[in-house]
Amino acid sequence: MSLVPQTATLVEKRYLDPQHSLFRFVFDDEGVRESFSFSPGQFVMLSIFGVGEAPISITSGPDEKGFVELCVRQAGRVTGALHALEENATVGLRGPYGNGYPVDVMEGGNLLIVAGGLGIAPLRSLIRYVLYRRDRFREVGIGYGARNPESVLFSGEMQNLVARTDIKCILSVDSVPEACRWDGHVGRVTEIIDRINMPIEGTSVAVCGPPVFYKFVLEKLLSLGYSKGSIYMSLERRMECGLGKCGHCVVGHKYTCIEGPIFTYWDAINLPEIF
Amino acid sequence: MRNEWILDKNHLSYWLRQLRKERELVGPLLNGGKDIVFRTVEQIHEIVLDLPASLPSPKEFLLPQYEPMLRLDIPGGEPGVHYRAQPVSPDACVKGSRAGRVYDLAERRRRIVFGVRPCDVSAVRLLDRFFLEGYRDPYYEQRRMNTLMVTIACNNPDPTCFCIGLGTGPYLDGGFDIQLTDLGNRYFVQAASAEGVRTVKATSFLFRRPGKADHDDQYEVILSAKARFRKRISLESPRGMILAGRIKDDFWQRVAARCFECGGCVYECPLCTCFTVTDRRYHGGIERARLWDTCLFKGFTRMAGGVLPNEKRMLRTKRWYYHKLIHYPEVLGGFGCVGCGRCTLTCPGKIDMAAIATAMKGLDLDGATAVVGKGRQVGIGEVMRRPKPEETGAGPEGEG
Repeated sequence: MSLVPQTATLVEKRYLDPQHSLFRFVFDDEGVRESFSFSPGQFVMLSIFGVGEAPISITSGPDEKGFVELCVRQAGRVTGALHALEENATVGLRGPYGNGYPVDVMEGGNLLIVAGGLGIAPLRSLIRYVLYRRDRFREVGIGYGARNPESVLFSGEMQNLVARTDIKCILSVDSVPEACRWDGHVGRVTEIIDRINMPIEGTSVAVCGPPVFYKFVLEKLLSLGYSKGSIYMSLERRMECGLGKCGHCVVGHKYTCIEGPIFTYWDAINLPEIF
Repeated sequence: MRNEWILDKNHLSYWLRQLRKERELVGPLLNGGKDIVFRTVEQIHEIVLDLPASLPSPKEFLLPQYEPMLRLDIPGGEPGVHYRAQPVSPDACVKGSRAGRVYDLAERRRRIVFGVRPCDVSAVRLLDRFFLEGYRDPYYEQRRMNTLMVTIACNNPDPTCFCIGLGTGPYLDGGFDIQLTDLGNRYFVQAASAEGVRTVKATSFLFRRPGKADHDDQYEVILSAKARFRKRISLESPRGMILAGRIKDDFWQRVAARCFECGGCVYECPLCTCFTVTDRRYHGGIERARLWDTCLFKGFTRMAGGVLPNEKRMLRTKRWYYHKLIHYPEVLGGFGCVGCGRCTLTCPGKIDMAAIATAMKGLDLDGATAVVGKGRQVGIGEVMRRPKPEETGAGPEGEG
C-alpha cells in the first residue's frame, strides 16, 4: 500500500448505458497483477494522470485474477476523464482500500443483497464471491431496483441470476416505458424484499444504493425485524488518500476509507451527518 | 550522566555553524513584510532570537503546504523537468515503466529547525502518532527522520498562550531532540532523543556540564515563566460538557455564525493535517502534489455529482472542535490542541479554541452574558476580547 499508484492499462471498456460503463484494467507490473487481491466491498483509488484521483468500488469478483473491473458513472472530473479514455490508455491504480464486506461473518448464514441503481457496483463483487462458493451460504436472495428497464446495469448477468434456482433474484423497475419489454417486477424495491421473503434469523443483509433508496430500504428491513447489526451498508465519501490521513472522508471520528466503507446500520446511526 | 550541558551564548553562532555543516539550517528570520517566518538560514546573525512565543509552527517542514508526491514522465515529452526548485531525490524509486515512469518524491534532505517552541514539539509528538501509526505515511516519515528540532523554551509566554493548562509547555521534560533554556548569558541545554544527544556530543568542546547554580537558575526561570501565563484554560471541562450533552447545536450555530471560513485557524494549527491532492501538468509530465486543506471549507467533502455531506457551516465548525476535543483524545490520546494560541491571533471572528473553551463555561457566545467562576456575570465582549499586555493575573479567561 502506498500513495504512489501502479500503472495499469485499460483493456476493455463495456458500454452499459449512456452514463455508465464497465472498465477492465490490467496492471502493467506482472508481480502486482498476480499478487493483487481484495475482498468484496473494497475500493481502489483510480488516477487519471493529470486530472486527479477518485475512489471507485471494485466491481469484479475477488476470484477473477489478472484484471480489475470498475463500473463507473460519469459524474465528475475524474470519472468524466475516464469515460473519455480509449482502450489501451494508461491509468494509475492503488489499493485495495477499505474493510470490505465481512464475508467470514456472512458465510454459513443466509444472505440478502439489496441494490439500487449504481449500488450494484460493489455488490456485484459480493454476488460473484457468493456464486464462486455457493455451498458456503444457505439461502441467498438478491433484489435489484432500477428506474426503468434500460437503466438496469448488467442486465444479461442479472437475467441469468433470475433464471438460477439456487438463488432467489428479483429485478424491479420503477416504471416501464411503452416501447420496452419487462418481465420483472414493476414498483418499489421494498416490495421485492417481501417477495424474496428471506428468513429473518441468521440473515445478513448487504444494501447499497442512493440515499433515498437507503431510507426506504432500511425502514422496510427494520419493520421486517432484521437487526441493525446484521444490515451492512456501503458509504460514499470524498477521499484523497484512502489511507486514513487526508481527512476528507471522516464521518464523526471514523475514517470511511479504513473503518468503512462498509458499516453496519448499528454503527452508522451513531455517526453524525449520515441521515 | 544526565544529558544536560551549558552553552555559553557567545558560542551559539559557532555551534549553529557546526550544525549547518551536516544539515540545512532553518530558523526564525524576518521576512520582507517584517513577519517572523521559518526559512533556510543564510546568515547566522539574521536569526531572530527575541521571538514572540507564537511564531509560525514548524509543521511546514513535516507536512509542507505544497508537497510534490510523485511525478510521471510522459514518453516523448521532456523528462526530468524540475517543476520546483526542490531537487528530485537521486534515489527516487521508479515504479512501473510502460507508459513513462512514476517517481516517488519523498524528500530526503537532512534539516535542523532551530527555535521551535515546546508546544510545537508536543504537537509533533502527536503528529508522529497520527502519521506513523496504522499506515506509515512515507513522505512524513522521511521528513521526520531527517529533521532535528532545537527547541527554545518559553521564558516569555504570549498573552494568547495557554500551554500551561495542557501540559504541553512552556518547558518539556522529554520528547524533544534538544531543548535550550535561556539563562541570560548562557543556555541550559538538554538532549532527549538519541540524535539530539549525538548532535550535542559531536560538538562537546563547546559545552560544559551544569553546576548547581545553573540548575537553580533554570528552576527559577521556569517558575517565573509559569507565573506569567494569563490564560489558565483546561480543555477537560469543555470536553466533559460536550460528552455530557450540555452543548447543544444552537451553541455551534452561534459559533458558526461568526466563522468567516477563512481557514486561518487550520493553516496555523500545528495539529491540523488535512490535505488535498492535486495533479498539475507541465511540459514533459505530470506532478501530483498534496496541499493543505481545510474541513471548514464547504467543498471539502464535495463528491462527484455535487453531493455535499457537510453542507451546513454549523456542522463543519462543530466538526473542527469535535475533532480536537473529542476525537483526538479518543484516537491519539491527547487533545488536538497544544495551547499555542495561534488561532486566537488569527481568527477574525474570535471563535478560537480559547474563546470557545471559555464561552462554553458560560454557555453563551453572542448573548448578553456569560457566567464565569462563582456566578460572576461578564459581558460577551469581556469574554471574547483579546487580553492587553498590561493585564496581569487571571482575567475572565481564568479557571475561576
